[in-house]
Amino acid sequence: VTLRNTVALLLAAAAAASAAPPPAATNAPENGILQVLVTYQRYDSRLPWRRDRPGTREGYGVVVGPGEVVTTEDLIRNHTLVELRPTRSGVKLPATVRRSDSQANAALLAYAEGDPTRALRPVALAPRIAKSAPVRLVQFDDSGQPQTSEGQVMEIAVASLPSGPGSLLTFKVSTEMKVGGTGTPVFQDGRLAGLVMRYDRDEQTCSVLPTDVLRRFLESPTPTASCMAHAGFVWAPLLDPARRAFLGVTDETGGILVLRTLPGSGAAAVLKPQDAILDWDGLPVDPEGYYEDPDYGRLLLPHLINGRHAPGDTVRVGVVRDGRRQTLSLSLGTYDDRRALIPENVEGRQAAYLVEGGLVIRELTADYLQAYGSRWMLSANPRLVNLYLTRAQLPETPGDHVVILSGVLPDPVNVGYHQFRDEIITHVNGEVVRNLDDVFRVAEREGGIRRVALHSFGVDLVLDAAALPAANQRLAALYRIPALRQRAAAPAGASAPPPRRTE
Amino acid sequence: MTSRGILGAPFRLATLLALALAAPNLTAGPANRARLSVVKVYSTVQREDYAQPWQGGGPGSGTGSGFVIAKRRILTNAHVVSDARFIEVQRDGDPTKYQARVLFAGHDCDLAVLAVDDPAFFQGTRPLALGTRIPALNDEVTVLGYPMGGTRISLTQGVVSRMDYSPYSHSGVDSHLVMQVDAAINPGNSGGPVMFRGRVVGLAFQGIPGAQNIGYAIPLPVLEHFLRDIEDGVYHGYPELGVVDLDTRNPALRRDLRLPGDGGVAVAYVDPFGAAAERLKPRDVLLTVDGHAVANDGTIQLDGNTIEYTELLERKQWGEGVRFLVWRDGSSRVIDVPLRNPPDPFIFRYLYDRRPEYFVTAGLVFVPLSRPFLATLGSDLNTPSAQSLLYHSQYAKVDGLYTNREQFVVLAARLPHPINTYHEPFESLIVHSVNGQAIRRLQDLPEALGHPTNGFHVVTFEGTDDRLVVDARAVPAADREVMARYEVTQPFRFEAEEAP
Repeated sequence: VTLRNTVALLLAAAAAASAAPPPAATNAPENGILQVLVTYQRYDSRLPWRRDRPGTREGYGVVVGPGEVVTTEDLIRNHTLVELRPTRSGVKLPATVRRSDSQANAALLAYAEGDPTRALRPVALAPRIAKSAPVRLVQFDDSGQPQTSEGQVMEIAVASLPSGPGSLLTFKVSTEMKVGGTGTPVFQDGRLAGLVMRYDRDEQTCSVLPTDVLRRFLESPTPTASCMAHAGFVWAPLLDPARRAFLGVTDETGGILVLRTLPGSGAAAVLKPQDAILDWDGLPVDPEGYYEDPDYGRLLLPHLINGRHAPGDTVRVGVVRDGRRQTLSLSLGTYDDRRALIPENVEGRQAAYLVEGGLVIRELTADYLQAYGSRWMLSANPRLVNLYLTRAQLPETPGDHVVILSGVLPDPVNVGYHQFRDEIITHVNGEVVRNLDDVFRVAEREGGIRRVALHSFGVDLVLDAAALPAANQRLAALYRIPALRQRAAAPAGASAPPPRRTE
Repeated sequence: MTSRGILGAPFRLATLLALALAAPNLTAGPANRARLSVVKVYSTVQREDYAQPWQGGGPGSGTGSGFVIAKRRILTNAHVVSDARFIEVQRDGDPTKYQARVLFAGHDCDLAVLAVDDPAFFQGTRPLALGTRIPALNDEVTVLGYPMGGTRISLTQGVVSRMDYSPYSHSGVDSHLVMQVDAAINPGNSGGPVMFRGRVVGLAFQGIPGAQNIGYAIPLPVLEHFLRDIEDGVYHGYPELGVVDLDTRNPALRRDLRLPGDGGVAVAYVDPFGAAAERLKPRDVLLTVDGHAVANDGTIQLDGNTIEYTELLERKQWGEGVRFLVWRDGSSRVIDVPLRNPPDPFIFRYLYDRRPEYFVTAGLVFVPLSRPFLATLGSDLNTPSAQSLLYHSQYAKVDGLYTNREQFVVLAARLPHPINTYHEPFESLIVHSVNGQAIRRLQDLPEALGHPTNGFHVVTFEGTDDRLVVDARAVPAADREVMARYEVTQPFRFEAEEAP
């Protein structure tokens, strides 16, 4: 059950093939910055037809094309209103989210060009970050006046996303400026080097989403899928000499160990558990999973997978299998959260659900468990937490999800059942249900749910079929449920969120 | 769904803070006579060291209270004398301390009986008589004992505020009847009598830190149960029916079960180690218990009171029977259940007066999963490996995790040595197999390690695909070095049989 960082999931992106066009040297980068004002509203984790109170976030975006602004995805997550404020101005212009990619933590906003935005100029993206050269951070003061501050690149490394479990290339900048929002642009030589994702007040450092990822996002040919490549395997370091000898990896000095491949992934097609990966895309991988990146030096494997290639690319992978060296050809895909047994739902999309006789039925997701607070591993139902920690990415058959009885809304029709909460549902009306679609199918075919079987519980919860229609109406009115049945929304604009502990 | 949890362990008197003592009115009266029989218990305790099980823990000392009962015995709390290495008792006003020893300890009900071999101790004492009935709410009671804040006996008065069914924190698992009183009860009161009209109706035992005017006592029925249990010279403990049930208040459920009348509770889960195993099954409906009709919410009427049917079972001794009228498959039948359980290694009580099992090789310390071992993990249990251990301890039976196992064997710790430098990720994980052999209990380890896989020991764990690999030829030398460096006096300790 260990979730060591080394067993973190790899998403991949590759260095941009085409170099950015040379910037308009006369254009000061301040002329391409907008403040992004977001009103957002999350869904209630337990009662998915409810929404939490709206909140606001402030951050920044950078003009990258006519009427187009790039910012971080976590800034605009669950937005109900996005507004842009140009420099030296109190004007707030409405904007729309054209697409977003939570695995790249990037979003593209659009606004109508007109008078207040006339002075805005697109900013060119830097080809890459130079560790030696200084950077400049820009944000607005209260009057909308740009404030700039020098910064220094401290570290370029693969790190976990601050608001999601994936890992990607990130650089750390130290600055004396008190950074006030995500998306704060970082410039190097007058070009956009990245957007601030998080600011650490104590350390006075920012973690910055690099230009490499932004470019990949902006140039992505498929707006509905993530731009980040995903291989689909879980690995561990291969340092232990006994382990290496046991696997017959004796002639080599490098290599990491494949523990598991994810069903349906590119890795599942060619890699096997206990393979030792010696090189990836021609670059040797050391026993801790580091490689020597041509641009950035020593980096962890995730960037080799998702930083140097795009989904659809094929890479050559050198392995030792059963003591023999082989070269395999692995095709990179994208991570699709909905294929997981227990999806992450980092974007906090509305859960599909069904309320029947007051029984609230839905699928288990990571965000549902994490809504139990910072100690969710102890606070949430132990069976559900254990299933998530050990099997989240491993449906027994494709399409499997965990259907749960989230809770019971008390009503005379469900008297005697009020205590049930976070139980796994195995059968509905006597039929096995593998996901919520199965529940919908049974409920629609049979005109309702009369009987629910729970995991490890030998008595079915039985509902009075004749009383159900009236009870459902009563419940909907009493608890003010606008829809008793809500199917999954079609996948919005881009991507699904990154999974946790696979590469 | 589990009836016994591993979390939510309450509190003990020993954790309470001091309060000023009430000044007793020591005039002649029943309470004043009783004080001659209330003794202070001094015990030096040595807990086991579950983190380094080859050595004992550091000894510590504490005090509690107790009182003389018939046959020259002293009744006190089990938690006062558990893991004791040396016990003395002292009467109020007598400078002499007499050595005492534990005759019986009931850890599931936190009661113990002590003997004092020197007959001089009992001169002038009179056994306190147990009451004939539980006092009613608001009846005034007196608590006697030796709480902190002074050295001599203390009497405090209060009323019975509540009778409830609550967890007993000493075992961390069991729940029994508890009497709540508003008299001051403080650390050191543990084991002292609660008197009503000159008779013992309870024994002070635990409190809630921070709460005011709440003290808990073990009430008369539990004291009587314990004393009757040990009459044959052996403490058996409370039998456990082992049934999870569901109310049948829902009319649709009643129709589905084709239930006649309007009572009964439906059996939803039968504990394989419970008394009802093999006798009751899911979808059975319990209509009567020993002739008392079970209502659809699980209560029965007894002596004019409404109580849970399980409370009736609480009054039974180990080996007695209970008769159910059971509705099964559309007809009723009588089913007799003898109330005795096989030893249950998956109940995860706190363990006392027994030495821990362990096995050390290659600097890897293996132990069976136990409640005291979980306590060594410290306060940060919000980690995946701790979560897995807690899940296994709570859901072992109900989720079938115990199947083909007698214990969960855990890689508890690593005594660092070059042979195990890279094995840190496996700490706190449950062993699945060693060299291809399933590990059902700790004793399986030496046998499985006798058959290396191509010269290596390969260990697999629950919840991860990662494996631990050790060069088998390097183990004997590493064992010698680890044993010497960390002063592991014995490389293993196995227990032949679980004590009941």
